[in-house]
Amino acid sequence: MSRERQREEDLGIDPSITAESESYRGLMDELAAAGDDREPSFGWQSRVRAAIAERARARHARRRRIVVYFSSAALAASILAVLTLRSPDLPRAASLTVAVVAGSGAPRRGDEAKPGDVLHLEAEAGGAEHAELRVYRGTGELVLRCSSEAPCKRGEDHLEASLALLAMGTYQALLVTAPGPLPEPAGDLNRDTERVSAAGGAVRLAPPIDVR
Amino acid sequence: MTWWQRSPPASSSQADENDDEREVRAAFERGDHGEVLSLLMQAHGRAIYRFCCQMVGDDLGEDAHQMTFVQAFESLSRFRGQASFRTWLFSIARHRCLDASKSGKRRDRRFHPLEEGVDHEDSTAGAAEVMAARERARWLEECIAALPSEMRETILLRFQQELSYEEIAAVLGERAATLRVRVSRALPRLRGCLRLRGGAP
Repeated sequence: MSRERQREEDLGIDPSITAESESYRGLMDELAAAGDDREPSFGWQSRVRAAIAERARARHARRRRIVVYFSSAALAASILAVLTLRSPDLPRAASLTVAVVAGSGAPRRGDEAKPGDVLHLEAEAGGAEHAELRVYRGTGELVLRCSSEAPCKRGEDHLEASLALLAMGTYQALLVTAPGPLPEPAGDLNRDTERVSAAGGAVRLAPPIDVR
Repeated sequence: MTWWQRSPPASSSQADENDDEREVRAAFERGDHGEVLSLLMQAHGRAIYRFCCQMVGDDLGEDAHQMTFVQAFESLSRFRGQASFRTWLFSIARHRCLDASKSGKRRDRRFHPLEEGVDHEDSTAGAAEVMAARERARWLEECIAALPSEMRETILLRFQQELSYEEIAAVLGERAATLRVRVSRALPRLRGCLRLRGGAP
């Protein structure tokens, strides 16, 4: 539509405008010219292109950050899920360590000890509900047996105890664990360990200590 | 010549606009978005700039003008060709101007100083006439700026960009009849504003 036709249409838009059409025609022309000398500043097209490129870069970087974030989160979640799901099937390993400390307080090396030395036992029950520390002298004398009572000290999964090695002989320390109550020991190393195994329990043996 | 008797400024012809539109469409159909952007900036950069500056002032208008083309480029893949590129651009510009005015910045309209561009080689009477014309132009810009936003955008699109009421309706998302009523109310308001400043008979 030409400007002149537009003017005619606008001058007829309302009777009060039609009545003063000459005055309003001038106003419309003046409106058409208002601000006509405005020009965008030099280099504006380059700035638009630079802004587009910058925004594309920022979007790309944001997308990359999101991918890295979600990948990391997914990986962490997977690891956590594996650990959580696997933990009931793979109980933490039970362990038993022993150390002999001389009467003077100096630690002894090797598997030999002297009467009066102290045998220190430390064990992790491996998540077993029932666990005991036992020490046999020879195969037929149970010289230490405890769980949470003295001389044992028990944490959640940790047990420790000390035993003075007063008599000569070969001492065998062991950790006995089972999901259910442990069978009452008879004082015989071989028989007692068999009964534990028969009851579904497990036995961890420390290296024997010879007290001479 | 008085302010209402000045001859209308030259504007691009309908044929030129159609040529521009055809050229942009051809580039768009080739999928050459870079070329589309260049053509749009070349054909409509000045008109969009003028519209934005008069909608929200020169400072905010400059940002809104550039963001219009940035957003147009980023939205090209969603352009469905239901409207002309020109109408589509003004629709984007209008939203960028609304965003700019909502941004909390105080509208800061800067008007060209009266002294700027006065031809001092004119006769004293000629120079006085130029200055008077500039003052009238400034009054008119102040009166346009004083209009409510919806009146201002309708007036600018109709009288400066020479869009049809149907095109303005597409830009603003309103009915053409509503826009006609709006123009019929805006024109007496503008004239009244100019009369208060002594710029209209």
